[in-house]
Amino acid sequence: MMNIKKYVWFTCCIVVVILILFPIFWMCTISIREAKEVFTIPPRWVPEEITLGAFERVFSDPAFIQAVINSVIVSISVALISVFLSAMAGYGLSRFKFKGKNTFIIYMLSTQMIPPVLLILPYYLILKRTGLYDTYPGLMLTYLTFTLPFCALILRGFFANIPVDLDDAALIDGCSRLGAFLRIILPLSFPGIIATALFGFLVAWNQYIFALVLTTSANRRMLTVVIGAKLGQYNIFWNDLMAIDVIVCFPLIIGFFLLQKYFVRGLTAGAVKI
Amino acid sequence: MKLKPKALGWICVFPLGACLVAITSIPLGYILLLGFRRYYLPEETQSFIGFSNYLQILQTPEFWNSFLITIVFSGSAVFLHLVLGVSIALLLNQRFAGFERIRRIFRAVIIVPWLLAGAVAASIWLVIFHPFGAVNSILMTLGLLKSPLIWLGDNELTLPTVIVLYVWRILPFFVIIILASMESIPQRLYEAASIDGAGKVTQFFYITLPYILPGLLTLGMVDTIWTFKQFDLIFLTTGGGPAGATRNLPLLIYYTAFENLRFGRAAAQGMLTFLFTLAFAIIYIKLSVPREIK
Repeated sequence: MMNIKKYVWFTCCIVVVILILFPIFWMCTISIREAKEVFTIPPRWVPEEITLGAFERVFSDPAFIQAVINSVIVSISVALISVFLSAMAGYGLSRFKFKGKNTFIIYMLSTQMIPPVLLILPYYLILKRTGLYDTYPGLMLTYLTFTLPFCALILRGFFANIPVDLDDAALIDGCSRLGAFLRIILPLSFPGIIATALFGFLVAWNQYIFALVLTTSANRRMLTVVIGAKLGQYNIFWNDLMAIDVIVCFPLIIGFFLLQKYFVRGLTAGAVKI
Repeated sequence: MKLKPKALGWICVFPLGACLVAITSIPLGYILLLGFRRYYLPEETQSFIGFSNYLQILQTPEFWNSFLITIVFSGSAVFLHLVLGVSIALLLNQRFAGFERIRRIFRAVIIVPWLLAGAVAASIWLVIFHPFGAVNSILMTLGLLKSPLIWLGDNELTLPTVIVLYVWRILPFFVIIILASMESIPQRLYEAASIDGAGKVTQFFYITLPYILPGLLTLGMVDTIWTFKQFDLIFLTTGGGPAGATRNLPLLIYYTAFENLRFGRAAAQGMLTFLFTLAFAIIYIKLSVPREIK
């Protein structure tokens, strides 16, 4: 009886995994076929002709390459800025008791209730007036809306797990607060830093509506907007589009699997305590 | 230099706080003011019109249509997330000798949908649910369908299809958090329960569920707030169509601002959405906190 249970469980898991990953699989398999094989009845799981033509076409488009550069610059910058600001804030939130701390946390969370669509109205108007419209810094600033609160909470969770005794020991040994932070806390919470950076990168990389409204020129266009634009065309080349999708997902999936230990710990550090 | 902990705490938090105030609260204030004005973008001038915007909006059917769609979208998605999330987490929480590595692989692998950009997920959905896409193809080959269904265009099918897209994308997040919570339940509780004769179902309702309930409540609230904000997925798969059948509040705001160019009106719609979200959060917290203390 026990043996059967194992295999029933395994089958159920396989079914669930197949259902969840099927769209990803389909995206990959469409990206390596010719246009005529995209829509067939019955469906072809693997194309008769496997071709990398879609990828060739995508990579030889200078607009696409520019979009990759734009997305990389903005996402990495946002990740770094977020880590920097939230490491400081997380440290403050985890180590010190001060009046209004809880109010501050509630404030941070309440900023996440504002629909992004609503924020683009003032962003659009303000960025235009300050000349930051269609620029990297303008866009990066707006992205921080989404990354800062969560990054601060993630890092606070990580820092909270490091005993205050370590801080005190360092202070007794003559370290300044800053020194204690840089030499003791940061190295110990390295997984948290990684998780936070990855989270910031993910949010920025996947952003759509801010990128759509707050940039117009081709050399500031983000990858997600490129995809969105292609969806609006009358004639869509699905295999090329899926190739773009694969390229856009690729860094995140690789990054995640390399660092998943850190990331899951990051997500659950605070959650388990709930 | 000795600084009191209180001061030091505020100093640490200040840069992030200042940023946040600058990029959320100040714009929010701007929107509040904008909601009381008439601002048709091509015209340079704005004029103050008090609550006119709000009164007009609350009388138009399209606002209430969007409101209803937002609620339906929300309720369905969060419900499915909770039910499916707990089920799959339960499934992945079963330990069998020799299968631990496989369990961990499954657990790691299902996160992928959550990593996708909204634009990517939307484009995949458009391919799969295309009239000649994978879903129709499979159903027709199996004989379950005679002619293709227009999943993302038909009056009845579009909203459910979009809901499934959102559910699919966020489900991994639920599973991972619920699973982490479940994994921290000491195994000996289950062992003791087994010895006392409790079956799996009883164990679930008396051990697992109470343990994860606070987490579920929080996840439910967070997810609901997310659904009120959803834009990317819906905009890119249906654009709000057909005929506004999937035009939730965020989409309505977008169209009012960037197609009708009525920024004042859009601001007012946005404020209503935000206040609604805030009200929901406050009521939810008021209702769920007493339970946690118990």
